[in-house]
Amino acid sequence: MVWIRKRFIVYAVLIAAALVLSGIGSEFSLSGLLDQSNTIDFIRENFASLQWNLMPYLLEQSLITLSVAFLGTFAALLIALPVSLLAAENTSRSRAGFYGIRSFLSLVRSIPEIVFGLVFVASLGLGPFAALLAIFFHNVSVLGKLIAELVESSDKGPQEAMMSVGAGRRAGQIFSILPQIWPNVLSHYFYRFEVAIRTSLVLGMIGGGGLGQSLINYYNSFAYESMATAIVLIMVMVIIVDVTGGIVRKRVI
Amino acid sequence: MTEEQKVIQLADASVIYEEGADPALKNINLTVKQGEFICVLGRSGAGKSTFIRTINALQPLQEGSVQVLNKDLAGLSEKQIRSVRADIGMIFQHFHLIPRLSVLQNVYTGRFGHRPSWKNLLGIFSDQEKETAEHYLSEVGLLEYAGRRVERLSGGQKQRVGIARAMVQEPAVLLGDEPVASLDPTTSDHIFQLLRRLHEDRDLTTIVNVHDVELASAYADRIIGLYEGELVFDGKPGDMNQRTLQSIYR
Repeated sequence: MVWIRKRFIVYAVLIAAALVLSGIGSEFSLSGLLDQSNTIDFIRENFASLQWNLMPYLLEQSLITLSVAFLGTFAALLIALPVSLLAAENTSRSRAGFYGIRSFLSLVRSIPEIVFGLVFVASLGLGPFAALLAIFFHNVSVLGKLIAELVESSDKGPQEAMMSVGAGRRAGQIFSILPQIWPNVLSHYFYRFEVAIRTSLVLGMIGGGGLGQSLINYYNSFAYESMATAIVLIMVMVIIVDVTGGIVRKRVI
Repeated sequence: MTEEQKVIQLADASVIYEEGADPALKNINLTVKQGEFICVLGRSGAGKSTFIRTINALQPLQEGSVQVLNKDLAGLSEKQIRSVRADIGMIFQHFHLIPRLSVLQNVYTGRFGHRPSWKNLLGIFSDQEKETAEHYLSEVGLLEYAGRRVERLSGGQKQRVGIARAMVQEPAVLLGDEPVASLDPTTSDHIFQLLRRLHEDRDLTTIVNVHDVELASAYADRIIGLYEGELVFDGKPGDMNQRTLQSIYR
């Protein structure tokens, strides 16, 4: 028992209690988990007969979903990069500014995209623009925080070198920090892009357009085979983005 | 010594990192003349890096004053300090090059203190600046590596890029903070030969921290010895003997 400290036992008891409470709260059932025959039947019946004739329409809708996810996250990245320099402890000009911006990012991040989506659909009307704004605001806060953490953990050496040549504060920071963190920034970006594709589907279900809207329409009208076709397209889209992200990151490194 | 000859002057200079702790530098008084090649000796923690870093205001003083190129660093604004730093080249033990940039791009960053930030950000360099950068890369023997990313170079090559970056500043003073501490003896000797040649060609005031007494004796005109932040030796290499060495490395 040399590896186990007394406090580990306390942690284990606390975690076990939390698991039991979560099981009760979520109505967990072991028999329900093991008995998935209905789910398997559903998949077998509907995924075996995909509606290929819907492909042109679904591809058009998936382009809307991709556009929302790409523009929303890319614009968020462009804003998050300078914001992250203000939100990082080592590059912020003042403690008050650092805490202020970090708190603001936390506040925005605490609002789920679907809440942003509901607000924008109500205020701007149905359509992909509402979904775009929801994704943009949430991702500014997420990428802002993630990139700020990369800035804080970057090597101080090049920053000192830029100070020693007399470089301007911001130009020095950009040149000494950005090249160091760039592969990780891209990695975070592609992950957020992939998440944004899934999010824009959910936002589509509340009126944000695109593939999500088609998905919920098929679901509501019990057109499960059409819904399965849309799901397959979603899976292909996410895999393509994941593979592309991997290739780009590898080339950048 | 005339005022023009004085490049650096420290008067009662002290640095205290933490309140209550021993000073990292204690009442240092010394003057550096134009065109001197100085090596600073001392054990680890003797205050060598602190001493070097006070000269380009990377480390502020708590007491005393430091004048560089006839400017008292204590009274300068951030912009004025940047302007002084632009005239002081510095090379580092761990090179502090910018990863993912090429050798030539790293050398260009040495010009940043002399130019407006927007030109730096956009990467706009005049033909003369390009010529200067290539000239110094050629001087350190790395022109053929100009397009190579710096992380693909050896330690000695990286330090040469560091030297080219410092020289492209066209500095009045060159500082070296343990520039050969991470290098093997042969490469260290090559780096010192290069520093000495650059110093002689331009009458460049050069101050270098080093652990190796032999290297210091072979290349320096003047040696400064520090022990626990105090100046314990200041003289010519020929003035050093067993007793003075013991006062530095006791």
